[in-house]
Amino acid sequence: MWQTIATLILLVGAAVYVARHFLKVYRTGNDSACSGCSCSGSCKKGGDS
Amino acid sequence: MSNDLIALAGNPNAGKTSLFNAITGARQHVANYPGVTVERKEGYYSHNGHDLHIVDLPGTYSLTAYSPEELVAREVLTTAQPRVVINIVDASNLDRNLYLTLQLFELGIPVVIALNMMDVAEGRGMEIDVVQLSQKLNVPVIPTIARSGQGKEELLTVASRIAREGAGSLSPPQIPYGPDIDPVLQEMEEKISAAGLLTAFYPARWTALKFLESDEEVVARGRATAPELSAELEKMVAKVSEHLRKTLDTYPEGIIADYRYGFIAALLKSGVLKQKHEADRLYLSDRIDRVLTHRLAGPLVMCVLLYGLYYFAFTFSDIPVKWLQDGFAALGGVIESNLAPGLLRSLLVNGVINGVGGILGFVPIIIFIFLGIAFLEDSGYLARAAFMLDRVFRTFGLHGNSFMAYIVGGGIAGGCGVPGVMATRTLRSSNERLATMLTIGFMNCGAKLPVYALLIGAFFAGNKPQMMMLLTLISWSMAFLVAKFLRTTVLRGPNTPFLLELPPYRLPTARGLAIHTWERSWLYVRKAGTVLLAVSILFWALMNFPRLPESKKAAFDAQRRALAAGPAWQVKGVVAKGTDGTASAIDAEEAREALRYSVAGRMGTALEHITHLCGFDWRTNVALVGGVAGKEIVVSVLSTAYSMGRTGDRKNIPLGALLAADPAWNPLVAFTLIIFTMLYVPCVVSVVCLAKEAGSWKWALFSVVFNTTVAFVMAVLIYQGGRLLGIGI
Repeated sequence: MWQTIATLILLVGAAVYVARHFLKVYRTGNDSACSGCSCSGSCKKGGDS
Repeated sequence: MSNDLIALAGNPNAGKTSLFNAITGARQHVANYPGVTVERKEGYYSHNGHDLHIVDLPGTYSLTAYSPEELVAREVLTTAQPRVVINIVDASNLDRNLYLTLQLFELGIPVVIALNMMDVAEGRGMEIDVVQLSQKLNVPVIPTIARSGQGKEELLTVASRIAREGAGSLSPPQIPYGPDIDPVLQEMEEKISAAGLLTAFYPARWTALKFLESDEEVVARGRATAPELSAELEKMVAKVSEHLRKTLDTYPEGIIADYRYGFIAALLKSGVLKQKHEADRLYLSDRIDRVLTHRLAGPLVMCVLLYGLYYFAFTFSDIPVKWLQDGFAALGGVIESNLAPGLLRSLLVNGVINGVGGILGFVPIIIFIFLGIAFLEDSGYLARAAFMLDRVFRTFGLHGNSFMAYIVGGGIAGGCGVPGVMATRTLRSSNERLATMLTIGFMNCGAKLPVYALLIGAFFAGNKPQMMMLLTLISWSMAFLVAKFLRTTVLRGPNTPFLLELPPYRLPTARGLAIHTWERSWLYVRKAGTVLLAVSILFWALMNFPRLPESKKAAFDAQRRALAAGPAWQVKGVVAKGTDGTASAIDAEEAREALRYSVAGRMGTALEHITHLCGFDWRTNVALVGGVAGKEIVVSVLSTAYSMGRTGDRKNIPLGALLAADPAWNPLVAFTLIIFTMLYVPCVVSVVCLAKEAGSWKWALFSVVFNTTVAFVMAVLIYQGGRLLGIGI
């Protein structure tokens, strides 16, 4: 039973995280998680400072 | 408390970002390639108790309105009105760099010159009289070496003082523009000044010069603010233009540029610059360029370098990749032996460890490739490659600047489409820009690398670097062909000229390479541990629910009971078709059946009607659907799908070995999947980025449909062609 509850929590957490992530991507047009995004200097406005 | 704003301005590759990093302690990316900074970057620094707000502007050669970088730089300088501009001047290219300096003077903002790369200038036998330069320009000039931070303190002390106290008596010289321009310029300046036209933003003389240069942005603002005066000014410009055309066969912009360069030449010849070596001396960079940018040798060297990079990455990563894969297998084993069978155990082992572990297992390859790219970038080689390929790019309707966008997007396997799309901002022609954006998705971004590494390792293990080289050539060829198609159909228009400064070669520092490699690799690992982990968990759920109905479970239980009862069952044919009649085979068959019954399984099975033409089964289809969120997910989903059917001693077999042993797979299917993954719809983030940058969702949708169609057609051609010819089956 506890495994089911823990799984449910993880699933909900993952769903919320993914939804928030892609919503942010939709709003900003870029992905700070992407391995190239810090290197062109074009994704973030002073984000790395 | 407010901070005094200080702007860093200078030519591309003059060392602005290095200086910005040295001042603010930030780790903004620095590359030995012009145009690294496309937008402004900001940071803060406290100098002797004086808080400074520092903004790093894009590198520009001038303050005209030709390119987005120039517009961004100009916008900040005129609207944010910094207290001081630190003008970073490449000491080894004084004549060209001072052109921007003169334009900064005309903007009326106090300027401090950072005479950077003094070491390079000295290495070239140049002797610069800094005191004389400062006296003649009547602005402070501080020698610096941004990479080592030399001169930084003095520069900040001077800039900070001017920000606090103002420029005082320091006023730079006014450039004369000759007998044709000067009288008109003065008259225009007076009219602008009297009417207050745009004087809240720009000095009147600067506005007058922009009218003379027919600067579209300033003229449009003038027309909107004071139509009558603007019309009068334009009439004056037309008159002087006509006069110049008749008498000198030129135009005001040309005269203005000539006088600026003339001023600089006179300044340098007046004793500011002494060249210790003979004029025809070839610098080391020029000597290297004779080979590396040679018409025939250059492309050959480029191919050898790329092949070397892939050879290095795949050869040296073999052992760490195995360590990581063994480590993840051991971790799965620990969880299985400590956690009772159930949903959570399945999620952790199949979804998290096999899913994300499947991606992370290839991180060593990524690290080695990132290291190689950092070396090429920091050394200054990439600028040469852009220069060499410009002719090829133009042939296919692209632009020399498209090269860097391709490289950032994965031209050398390992980039990312999102910054690639953003890097197209340096292209002036909207059609060239769109064609570049729409084809960047074909590049081999870092997300596709785990897919390639998995399938190449499983089916082409003896030819890893050769395969990566082939894939690089295929992706570039496809991008070129599609770009040509777009430029001759929906994106027709003329090509624009390409001018690129070739920076000097520099030996990359170990620290610089380590920082660049670490930054990219860490972001890659972080992505795997956050968004890819979450997506893998969701795909695990899609592959597990709904569960098999009780009636089907009962059928498998019956088989197990029959097996336990003795060998007679085999004769009676109770065991499911396709199993070898052992308990673990029944378990595996049940797991496969459950997977097919799940939401993802049904989706994959439904797609088989189309994808069987490419040789893809339902599990591959599910993986490809997952790949829309990020191409790494293809590996994650395949890993989860195959781990759910694994039992007993097959649990610790790596995914690559499982695929190689699966009769549904062969080198032809693997190659077809690689090409499909390379070409099909860009990931969600790239699509959103493309929509934002193109200013329309229409192009994003076009990219989704077009790329997937191209991928499908290519996959069918390869698979069916291979089968017909008996290759790879």
